Amino acid sequence: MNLLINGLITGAVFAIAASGLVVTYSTSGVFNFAHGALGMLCAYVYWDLRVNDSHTWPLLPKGHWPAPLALAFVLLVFAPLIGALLYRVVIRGLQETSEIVKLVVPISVLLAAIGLANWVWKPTDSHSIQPFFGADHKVTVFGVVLLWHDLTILLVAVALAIGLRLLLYRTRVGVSMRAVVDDRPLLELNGARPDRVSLVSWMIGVSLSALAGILITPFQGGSLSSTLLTLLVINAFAAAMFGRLRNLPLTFVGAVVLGFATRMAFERPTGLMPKSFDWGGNLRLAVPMILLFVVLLVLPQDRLRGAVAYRTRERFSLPSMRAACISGIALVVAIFLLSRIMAASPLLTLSDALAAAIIILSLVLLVGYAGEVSLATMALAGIGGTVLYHHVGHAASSRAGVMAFVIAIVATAFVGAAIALPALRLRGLYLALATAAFSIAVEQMLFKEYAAERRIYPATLILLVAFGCGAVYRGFSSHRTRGAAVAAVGSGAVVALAATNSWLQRERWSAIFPNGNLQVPRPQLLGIDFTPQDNFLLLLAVVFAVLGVMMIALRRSAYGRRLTAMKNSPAACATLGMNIVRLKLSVFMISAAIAGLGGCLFAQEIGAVTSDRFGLFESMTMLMLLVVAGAGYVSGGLTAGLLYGAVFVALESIIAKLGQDYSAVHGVSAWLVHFTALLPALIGIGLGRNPSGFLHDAFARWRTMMRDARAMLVASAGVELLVWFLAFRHTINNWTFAIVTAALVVLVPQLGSVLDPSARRRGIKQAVDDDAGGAMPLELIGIDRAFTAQDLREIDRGIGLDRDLDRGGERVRA
Amino acid sequence: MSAASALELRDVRAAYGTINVLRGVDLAVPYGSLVALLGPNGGGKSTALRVIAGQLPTTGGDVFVAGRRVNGAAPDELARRGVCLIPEGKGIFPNLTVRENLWMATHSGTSLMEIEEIAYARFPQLGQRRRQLAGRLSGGEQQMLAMARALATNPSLLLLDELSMGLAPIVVEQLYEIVAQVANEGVSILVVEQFARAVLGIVDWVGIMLRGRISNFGAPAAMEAELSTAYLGE
Amino acid sequence: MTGESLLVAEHVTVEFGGNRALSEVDLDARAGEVTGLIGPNGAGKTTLFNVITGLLSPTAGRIRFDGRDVSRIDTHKRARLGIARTFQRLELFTDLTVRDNLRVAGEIRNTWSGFGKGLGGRVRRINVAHETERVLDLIGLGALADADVSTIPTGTARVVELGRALMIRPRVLLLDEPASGQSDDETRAFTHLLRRLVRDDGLSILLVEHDMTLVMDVCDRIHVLDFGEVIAVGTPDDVRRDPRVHDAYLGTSTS
Repeated sequence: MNLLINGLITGAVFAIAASGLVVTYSTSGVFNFAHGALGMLCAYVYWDLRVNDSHTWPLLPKGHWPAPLALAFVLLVFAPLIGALLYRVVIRGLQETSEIVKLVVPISVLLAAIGLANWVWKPTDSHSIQPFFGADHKVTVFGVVLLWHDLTILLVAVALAIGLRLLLYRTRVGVSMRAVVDDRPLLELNGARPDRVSLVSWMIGVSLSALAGILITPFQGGSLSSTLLTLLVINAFAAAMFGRLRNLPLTFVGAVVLGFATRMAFERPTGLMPKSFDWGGNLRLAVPMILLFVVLLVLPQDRLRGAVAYRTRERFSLPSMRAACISGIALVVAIFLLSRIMAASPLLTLSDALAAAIIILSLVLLVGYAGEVSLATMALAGIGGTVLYHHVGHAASSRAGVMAFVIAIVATAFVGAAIALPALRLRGLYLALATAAFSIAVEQMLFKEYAAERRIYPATLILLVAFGCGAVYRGFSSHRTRGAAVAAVGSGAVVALAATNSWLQRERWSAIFPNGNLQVPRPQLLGIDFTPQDNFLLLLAVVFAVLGVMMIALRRSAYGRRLTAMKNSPAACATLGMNIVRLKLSVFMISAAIAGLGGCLFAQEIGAVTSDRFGLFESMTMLMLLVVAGAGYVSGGLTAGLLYGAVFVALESIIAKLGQDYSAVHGVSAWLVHFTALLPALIGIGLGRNPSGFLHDAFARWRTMMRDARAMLVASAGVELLVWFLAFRHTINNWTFAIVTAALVVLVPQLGSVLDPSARRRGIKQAVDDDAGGAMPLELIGIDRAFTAQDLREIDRGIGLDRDLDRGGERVRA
Repeated sequence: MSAASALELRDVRAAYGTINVLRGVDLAVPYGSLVALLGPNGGGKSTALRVIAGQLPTTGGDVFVAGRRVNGAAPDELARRGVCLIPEGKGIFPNLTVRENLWMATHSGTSLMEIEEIAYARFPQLGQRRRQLAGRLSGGEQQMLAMARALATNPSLLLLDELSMGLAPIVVEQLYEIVAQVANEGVSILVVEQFARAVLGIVDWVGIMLRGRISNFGAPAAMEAELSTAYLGE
Repeated sequence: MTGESLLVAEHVTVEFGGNRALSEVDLDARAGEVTGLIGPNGAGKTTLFNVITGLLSPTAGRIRFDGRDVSRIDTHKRARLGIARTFQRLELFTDLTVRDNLRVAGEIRNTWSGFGKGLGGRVRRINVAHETERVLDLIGLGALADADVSTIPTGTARVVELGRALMIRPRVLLLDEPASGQSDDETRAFTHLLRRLVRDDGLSILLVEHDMTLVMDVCDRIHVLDFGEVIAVGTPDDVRRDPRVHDAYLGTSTS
């Protein structure tokens, strides 16, 4: 009975969270990753009004607001306002962009929301929301003691189900929302403005997320936390998936199923798990994710066949091998020179950045080259680091050798394959969600594991075997091979796990993850000890350069061309005889291997594998930064790594230092420090404007320079070297060096285009000649003026992506 | 500009990216007349309608509706001005009921009650099925619903794209009878149709579209011979 | 060899949620011939192509290739047996140059492992570089080889798709509206090219096209599809004279 009622209430929580997600997704086609984060933000605002009597909201009265008033303000004013703003400024522009941009921009919103919350409401302070009607209003239902708050949740969920039903079927705006889902252009032909309809749905969506945030927080113990609530609502994704993100009744069913599953894991069915078992708690956190994974696999997917998976508009130019090698060597030399003049702490920051860049290279391959997506990058990296640790041990004297790296890389590659197999038939958003689910599951179950007993438990065993079998089943297309493969993997997994089990009991491991983090020792290779920071930095630079050159070689090889072909048109590839499943599997494995290597180095760099440095949010940030910089470029990986590990950190510390040195600007500097923390997410939000990433334009400028103003390049290189030498001899300090360098990097390409306007004119004239019609040539849109949705449609048509051209083909996709 | 035309196209050009689909279309639909654009696939007929309804921008030339130049107007704006396009094969919202479909037409300014009244008077079948999902209706009924939606808003210019798509000949005949009736009531109509014979009997003028231009324009009787050539080669 | 049935569709039926796109369609493309497939818009021509290449599973019916039932095997394996196609909506690899579009097709061919009795065990690898230049020459795009495919006009893009399909050395080639978007001159050159492929390389072609001049010009036999059913089969002259075909195109007379 306890289980039933508690399961129902948990289900109601998920239902509230998931319904808003469905409303926004179905009317705008953009999956709101930030749903939970926005709810969290709104819950904080509610806390401010309700609890915090010294809040600083302008115009709003101070003091404790009564609950209904605060609730009304947040749900009916603040949240809709945020929703409207978000739709107008950010989401509307995404309508015609590629899938990866549609994924990354909401992720940026999520990261921005978390950043904002941590800025305004310090995570170290306690912010707690009391249950409605207080903690002592209780009622006993069928022998189960419930808070009034719990009943409220239940009631709200029911009211929501009825209310949304009424809204969608009994009001014109509601019916219009359903009409937008059916046929957006037709609604326009009816004289309606679909944009407004979507706007309203986003207002409602964010309001629902606020409701979820405010209701769930007391249910979770009352303490507000920027990440916990965000993650909790991510769990609601699983419920929404039951209705394939579109069907509300099914979403409610899914929520209840999810509620029971979570509760069941919480209640720890005896026999399946040990009593003193901390995985139980972690498993509970991972259950929704596992369920999400399962639902994603079971539900019928848009079939890959006949469909163009990625309608990319991003264009990436490809460097020659010579340029790649020169750049690689230049990077290593530059890093070496820098390490000679740098103090200890920037040295550390730079190393962080390079290690991150190596991990991000795995995404360049996956996202930029193959057109796939993954949010499990850091989870894989963490697995790499974990394996390395267990191979090497953590004694102070131990060093990682080549063998340790090889084992870690190979192991990660196979884990990558294990995720890829079920994911092979998923794409876009579904693939992102599946990998996010994997990432959270790993984070919760593996990186937070403190188990004292040396056993793998039946529950885990069943889970893993079922997972493996399901994976294989989805991965193989023909019936004959399927059966055999499932049998093989199933029995293999049982044997392997049994063996591991007995080995675990015998061996030195007390757990996979003792003490919540792993101290990973640095490598010793070719007789060189890389423990000293400058040595290690150099190693990172060399590894990145070598990997980068290899990546470009790969992209230029037949394999790379096949990846590009698959990215552009899987259907065409299949009709040319390509086994897409195999190619996808291989690219996921190679990508995982790179992530594994990067993970080892990153763990060695920061000294440990910990759940907070290898979690979902880190993967999200990396993906976002990479796409912002330019996913198709190795240098995009480097830039993203620098942004991730160094640039914003450096900016923050510079601004903070200025604040300390000059007390007059202290207030401004404190503000700027926080703002800098938000900066990456804000850049990501602006991404919709330039889907190729900013490097693409930068490269175009540099290329012009190389052609037209080579002398100037040489001159600036000379200046840079001179400045370095002065810094090396301590004639000038490093600050001067940094400022001159930054100035050169930023100004030189700009100067190039100023000095040589003829190149621009040439380009435009030629394009105009090509197009007698006189309209803006497609090639110049986005260069001479910003993209509009209309332009994107035009370009789609130009490259043959327009759906209306082929009715037969569209039917297949339906 | 001649105020005598409900619709006039002057040297209209349009393209899907680099594919030029309309290569200079000149066409006039006089007030209250029924004009058909015929011709084989790929000639640009449907594209012409999309341009008129504002769904596709022109790359050259001018579009006049009731004497006013409307290049660049948004589809919803044109719809509220009385330009009503029933797109090919999908003029309805399949997951909405008949009544809800009509409800959507109120965005153009007419009240739901009025729309329902007009619609059910003209198509009694729809009145009996007002609570059914539009996607469950027969093909003919779906087209009726699409037309009902369009007519109820008192359009000044009705654009019909391939009304006959996927329908049995007898149903097509019935639908065009209604179209002829509507034209008699004074609504200007431009019909795009692949099955020429379905409309030759009812229209005032016929234009044949080939390779993005109107290759022939004239009275229906004079066009029949031209049509055979246009479709099946000489 | 010429004149034997090579690619056969038997009673192919496709339903999309209650709508019949194809019903009991029979089609027979013979070796060494150009078979035309015509019919009004929405008749189901592209759908049939998708069924033949395995991009779409039929509700009922079978596809036979060279006497062998291929209904149950994957798209890529059918390609390996020798079925290649082009797409009405261009499906070029837009990030690659014209040459690389062809090249990657050849490279995909070289990844085929020994599959299918139809090809006599292991597929012999081709010299991709050599073959690419040969095909570029054949389709007359040598001068455009290094152009980005996203910048070339549609008419040319269709030729690139043809060339790409030729790179896997198919036995039958399915062309879906190859002339749409082409100028008259381009269509003439294309017609010439098709003839050459059939005559010199013994290629069999299944052609969906709206340009009747092209169809009547190159096809040996024509199937006419209307409302998802084959309503006529015969030589171009037969089809042109068939009153049912006139009805299908012009609509049943209302008078």
